[in-house]
Amino acid sequence: MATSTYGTPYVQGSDLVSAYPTVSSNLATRVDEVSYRGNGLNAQTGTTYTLVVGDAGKTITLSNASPVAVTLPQDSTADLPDGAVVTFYNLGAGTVTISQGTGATLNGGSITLAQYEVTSVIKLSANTYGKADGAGVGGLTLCTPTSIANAGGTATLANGTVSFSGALTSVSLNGVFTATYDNYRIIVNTLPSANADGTFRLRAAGTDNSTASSYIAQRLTVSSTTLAGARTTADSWGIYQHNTTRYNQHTMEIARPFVVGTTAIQNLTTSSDTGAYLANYVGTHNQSVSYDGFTLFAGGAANMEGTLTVYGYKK
Amino acid sequence: MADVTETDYTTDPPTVTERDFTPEELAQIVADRAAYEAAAAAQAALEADQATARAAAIDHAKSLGFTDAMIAVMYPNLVET
Repeated sequence: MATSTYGTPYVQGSDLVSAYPTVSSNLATRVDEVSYRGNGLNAQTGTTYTLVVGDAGKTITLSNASPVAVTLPQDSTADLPDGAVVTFYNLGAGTVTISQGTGATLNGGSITLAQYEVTSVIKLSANTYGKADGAGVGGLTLCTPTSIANAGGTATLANGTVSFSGALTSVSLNGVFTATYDNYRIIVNTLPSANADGTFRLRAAGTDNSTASSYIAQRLTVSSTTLAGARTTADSWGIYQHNTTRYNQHTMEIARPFVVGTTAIQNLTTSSDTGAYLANYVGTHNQSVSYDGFTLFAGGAANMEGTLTVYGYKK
Repeated sequence: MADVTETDYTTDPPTVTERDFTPEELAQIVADRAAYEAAAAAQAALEADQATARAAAIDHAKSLGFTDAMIAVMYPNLVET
């Protein structure tokens, strides 16, 4: 009996195969896995995990409600073969962070995975790993709030999107802005019961910031051939709504809300009913506060339904 | 029935708690409602003023001998279609 470079046992010419039925069976199973069923899953449910040699080629699922730290080890700990690809899939609500361990290098730095995100890592050379799919080098990542609060109506979180309906006065998302990302995109769909504008406030540790004149906006609205502009200073950010039968769609860009300092805000609204309406509000919130969330208010509508989804721009 | 429903998704299953508005939240809601009603009233007054001015402009044009058709061509934003 001998073993391969990575420890897989095999029979030699001097061995009787009949003396090693388990080894023979395991080899056949492994050939089946590689040839027909992929390399198999390694299901992890803890909050830490360090790769082992046997993970080469596998998909590792990570499932925990708390953050999970994955370590890519140096060769003296686990020497994965060069070219080996390991795929990571986050099943849990806790963010997965994949980082280099002591003595190892992950080119481009750590990778974070929100729930239901996937990425792969390649072992490139001695003690060195690379990102197989561009993870962490750009693009948008779904950001799931740690908690939500609604006044009136109902609000639920599923697959990273908050859905709300009924006699809703406001819905708040907490723990959605973090140090992981600087800039965010919020996709807001609203369907108010009355033709009434909503509002938006940034939120820190469960408290909305409603400082007077702190939300400064340059507004442009267009209806048919009529353009209107205005400068507003208020204790909230306006959300233009001009449709009660189809969704008003708002794309909001929020710059550096978690960083202490002023926060730039832009929201572009398209609203189409029997006609089409456009609103573009750009400006700033001038308070030097670190925000982890926000609240959307229904404004003058008695009922409002819709959805909220937040994405972070990868650094 | 409580005013606010809070759902914590860091626990499995999520933890739901209900509470009333804090005094600060209640004061802000009252202020927001007053501000919204004031803005709506101002918007209604603005639209009424614009309608009055529009009607006066049309009457003046007619006193000079212009017909509705002529006014519509010369001042398309004055006549609502």
